[in-house]
Amino acid sequence: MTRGTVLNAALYLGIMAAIVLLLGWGKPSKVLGLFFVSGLAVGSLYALGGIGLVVLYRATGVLNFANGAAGAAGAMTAWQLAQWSVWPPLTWLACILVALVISLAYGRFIAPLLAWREPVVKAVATLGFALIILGVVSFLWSDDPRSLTLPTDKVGVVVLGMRVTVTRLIVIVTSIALVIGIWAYLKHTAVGLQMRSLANDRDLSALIGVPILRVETIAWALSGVIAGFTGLMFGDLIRLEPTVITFMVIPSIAAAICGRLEHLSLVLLGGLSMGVIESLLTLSPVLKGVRPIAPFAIAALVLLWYQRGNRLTFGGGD
Amino acid sequence: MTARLFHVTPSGATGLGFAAFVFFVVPAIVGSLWLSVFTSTACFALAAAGVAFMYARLGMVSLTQVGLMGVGGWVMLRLNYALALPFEINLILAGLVTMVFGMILALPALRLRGLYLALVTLMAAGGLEIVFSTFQFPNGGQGFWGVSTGLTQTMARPWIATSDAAYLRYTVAVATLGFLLIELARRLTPGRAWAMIRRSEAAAMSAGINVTLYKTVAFALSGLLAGLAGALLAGSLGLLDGGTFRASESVMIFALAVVGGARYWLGAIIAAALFRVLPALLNNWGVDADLSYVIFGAGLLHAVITAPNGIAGQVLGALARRGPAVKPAVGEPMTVPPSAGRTGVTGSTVVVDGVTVQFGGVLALDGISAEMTQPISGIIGPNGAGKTTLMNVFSGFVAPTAGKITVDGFDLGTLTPHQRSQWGLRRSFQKEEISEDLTVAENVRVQIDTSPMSGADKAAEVVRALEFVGLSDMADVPGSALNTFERRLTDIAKCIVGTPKLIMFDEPAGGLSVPETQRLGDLILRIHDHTGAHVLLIDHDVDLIARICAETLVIDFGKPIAFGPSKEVLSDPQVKAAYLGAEEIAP
Repeated sequence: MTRGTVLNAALYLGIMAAIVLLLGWGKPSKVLGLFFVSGLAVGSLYALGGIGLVVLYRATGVLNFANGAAGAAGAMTAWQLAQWSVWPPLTWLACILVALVISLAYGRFIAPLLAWREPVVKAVATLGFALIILGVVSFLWSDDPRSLTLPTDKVGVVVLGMRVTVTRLIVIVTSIALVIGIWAYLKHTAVGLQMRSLANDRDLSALIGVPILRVETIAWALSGVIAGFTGLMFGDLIRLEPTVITFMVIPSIAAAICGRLEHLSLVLLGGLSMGVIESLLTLSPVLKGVRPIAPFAIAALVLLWYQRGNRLTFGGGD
Repeated sequence: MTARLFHVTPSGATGLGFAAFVFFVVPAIVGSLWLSVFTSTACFALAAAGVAFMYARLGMVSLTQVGLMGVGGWVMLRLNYALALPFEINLILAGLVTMVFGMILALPALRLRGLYLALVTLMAAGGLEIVFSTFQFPNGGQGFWGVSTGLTQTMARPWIATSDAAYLRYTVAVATLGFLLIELARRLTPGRAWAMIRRSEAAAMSAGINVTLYKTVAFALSGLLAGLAGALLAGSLGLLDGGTFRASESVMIFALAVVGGARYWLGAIIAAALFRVLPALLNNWGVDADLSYVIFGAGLLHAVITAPNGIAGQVLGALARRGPAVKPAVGEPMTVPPSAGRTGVTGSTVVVDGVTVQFGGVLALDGISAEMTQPISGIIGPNGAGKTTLMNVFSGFVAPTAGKITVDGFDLGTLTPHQRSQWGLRRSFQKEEISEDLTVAENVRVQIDTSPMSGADKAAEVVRALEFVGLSDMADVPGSALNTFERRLTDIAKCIVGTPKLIMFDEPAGGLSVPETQRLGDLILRIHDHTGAHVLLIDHDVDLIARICAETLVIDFGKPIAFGPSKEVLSDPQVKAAYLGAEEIAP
């Protein structure tokens, strides 16, 4: 660990501690703890979305705005199957499958047509795909209040004297496990090595014989599965509404920005911090109303922090 | 230049005709529901034109436009219900406040590019969305933050446009002025600066363009248009809702501007029509409005994949193909005119004093020193020796860790890159940096846009420079139609136009044939007599260096190996061993 890393970590911890103290001053620790945990759960959802985006962006160069839409389609499918009294585990599986198929369809059939365009154009194209999915999903399921419940919602565990539902624990643990799992996958497997190679330099990787299509397909599949899971959990924990889940991709991008679209652990840290700060803002009478602004404000500040001292002179990659 | 400024292109004439049609005919024939739809379409067209020109002319993606419209609308409503100012004053104030917002947005943009720029504007849009949905629009509420849910008072409208039909006319007139404002900016200094920035920021800076300033100008203009659009929308409806200005709408209007065709006026109209008219039509036909998303999405994918210039590009392209294609005379043998002659100018002294550049652990340049007094000096060295880094130190793109460069005693390090260009430092790049959007003459003109000369003098300077390189016949040919040699010649014209003091060429002969290299060498040899500037040439071509440079500096691994008269230096055994040893050159 270099001195810079230690300083940055200290700076981060200092700022977080200051925010928590400032917002939680004079509140009973139990209340603070509950808001903290609920913030961690929401933050995990941002982080999960962000992780899916980053894995795909690193391997394929596509920032996928359709990630949220794929999750929305999956979550709505799960709801529909539950209405038809399908065995619950099958509905969850269906959710992930739908998101996987949608993601793969774009990755295999549309993304190759744009392989050599600049990142902004690739991102804009996925937005078109997101709109198509959103249009179809909202057409199939018109605006009605719906909800998705998982059996784990009713089961609670007591952690440090607080009752936490298992669903929340699942998202928090999954997001952490995913970061570790993907890190190990990238580090220790052949495909992981090829993904890192693609992320580093696409042209060179193609020249030295990395099977681009295969590696990219795996990345699209992986991000599709993550999107499906995130959509399901979002539908359960926050709201089951296609438009809301589709545009959940915007705070997910905020989390991804915290990791510079590169470092998964920082994406996780960023996502969790956003969730916690957003949740703790509820305690402030002044800022309560604008608490959803937290991810955007944090991401904008982080982006500016990363770019400090940067000189924009020479063209090339972003 | 004046004639060109007010020149009406066929596309422009069609646009004005279209505006006249909407102004005179449409309000008279449509019902009241459609009047409101078309008014809001005109507002969004104005806002879309703002993002479209930023994307097409500067390559910058702004995803905050609809949020900025909300800012304009908020200011408009607040002013309208709080003060009794005329509509026009409110409109202008709303536009100006939003313009300032746009300029604040530009602050991060100065350091960001491409995807990251798009993302930071997206974050801004997300933030504005929350602010609007939390604090809501005033809509006639009391006090500064006061909010009213319904319409309590009537929204004042301009006295000439109180009816809905007249208000549509008013909106169309303002929108047309907005479109003309963009076109005007594009044809003047900002437009030329934007074209160079889009091509390459480094090239723009070495053309003397203050990149920070002109990027801010672009954001300001785009913000102004968004503010006017939002204010007009507020005037049309009387009350606004936070749901209109969500971040997703900002993303959508950008996407639709791309679908429509960001380079053309028609593109912004198509974008706004898709955004506002299509959902209304679908609603009329009893089709689920959700399906408009599918149409948008499919249109966006189609446009991004197959039509980089959007629907407008396809439409206007089909129209243009009917007329006879205008082919510029390219490839004519060019006769070099006699030098215009600025005799009596003596060569300046360029002193490189211990320049050292360290990138992290890599020592790119290690104490380079040379005192160059000849009119044309050369720098050679193997690949990776640090030649281009040294040139970037000259340009100010790389700050030296130690050492300095002076020209006749003047320390270049005191100036920013664009100030160095305005001082008289000119350079070409390894890749020719010609804006494809500008004509040959405009490409050259960019270089002296910021000099204090009068417009007529600048035009005359451009003519002289083009005469010198032999491109007079091609002055009006767009950059996109030039071949490599013509681009190199345009680069040289850029370097000699105005009053250069030090001209640097970075491998100017790259990619040229032997006769072309020969011609280029002849031209470079005559530059000093023509302009009086000191010429610095970096190249691999030993023959070229030996032929035209009186003195040569040899660099290897960032260290100076030899410096002196070219003949002596090139036959130095140490130089031969380090650099020329691998190559066989005629003794």
